[in-house]
Amino acid sequence: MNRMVTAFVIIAMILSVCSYSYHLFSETREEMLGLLDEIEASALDGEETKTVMALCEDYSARWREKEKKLLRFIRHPQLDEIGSLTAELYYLASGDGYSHLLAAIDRIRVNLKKVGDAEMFSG
Amino acid sequence: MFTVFFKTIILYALIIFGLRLMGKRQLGELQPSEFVITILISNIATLPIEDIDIPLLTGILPILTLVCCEVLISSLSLRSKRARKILSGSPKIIIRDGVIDQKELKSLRFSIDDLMEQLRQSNTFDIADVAFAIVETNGKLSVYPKFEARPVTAQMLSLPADGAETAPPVVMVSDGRLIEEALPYCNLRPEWLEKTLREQQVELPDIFLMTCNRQANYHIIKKDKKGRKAG
Repeated sequence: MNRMVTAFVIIAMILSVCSYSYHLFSETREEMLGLLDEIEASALDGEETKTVMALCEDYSARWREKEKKLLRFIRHPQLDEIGSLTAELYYLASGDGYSHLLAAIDRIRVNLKKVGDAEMFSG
Repeated sequence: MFTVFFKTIILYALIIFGLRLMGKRQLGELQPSEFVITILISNIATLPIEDIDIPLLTGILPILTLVCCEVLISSLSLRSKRARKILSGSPKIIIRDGVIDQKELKSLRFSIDDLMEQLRQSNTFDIADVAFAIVETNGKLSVYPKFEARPVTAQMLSLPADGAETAPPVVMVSDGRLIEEALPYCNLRPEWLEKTLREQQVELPDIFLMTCNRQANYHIIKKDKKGRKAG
């Protein structure tokens, strides 16, 4: 009987870890996609480079914070790609025109969806 | 490298915990579900150890899940005969009254060589000596020999039974140390041990092994002089 109780306690712990990771992935995806939309909108509206760069910097800082938590649970090749693209955003925003920035945002968006799909049973 | 070291220790502790949780049965004779889980656990555990990029949690989570599945499945099979039959199968009689059930042998995919090998492992060298042979759920063969092939027992010879004699001897001194539980088991007192050692002219630390039964029949093996322990 003790074994059964221990097994149920462990299962409860596993399920809580799984649901925490599910929410973390879902929350990260929503938050990051929202920020990317914001950057994209300001770039398409032809706002000042400084504003877009500030948004990119804010995005990078938030991603680094989230990435640390995500990597505790799972390692996807997409997470590495998002990390390297995110690191480039600030410099792409400071260049001439926003075409490279918008392409990078698209790639980040696709990878975020892939990671989310893999972790949230929709992939 | 410290990461690998700590990951290995954590996974080692986890697997020991898992095996203890699954129970002693797991370490002895494996049922099909236990066999599958043992293989899976050993494979999963190596992944986070070999690849430092794989998070420890990715190893811990499936191992704990498998251990819990095993505990729940074994508990279910303990409660339900039907579940037991589905999960572990049922024993099959392959020799009945000395006659091989060839159909059953074929359905178990047991060749004659397999059968003979298992019979030899059960100390049966002539198939004519077998009354019944049963393939257990863990794949082992249990053999019930014919009357004329059975070893002689005290009951057959009508020898008087002595309750005390059936108790096996126990280790009383191991590597110079007294095993506390042994004296009460043999219904003896510490004074008896002191007297016996005095008679044998041996000190407690010089004894490699001492066994004793309830009739106070003892056997002493001294440590050898070079300090090496005798086999």
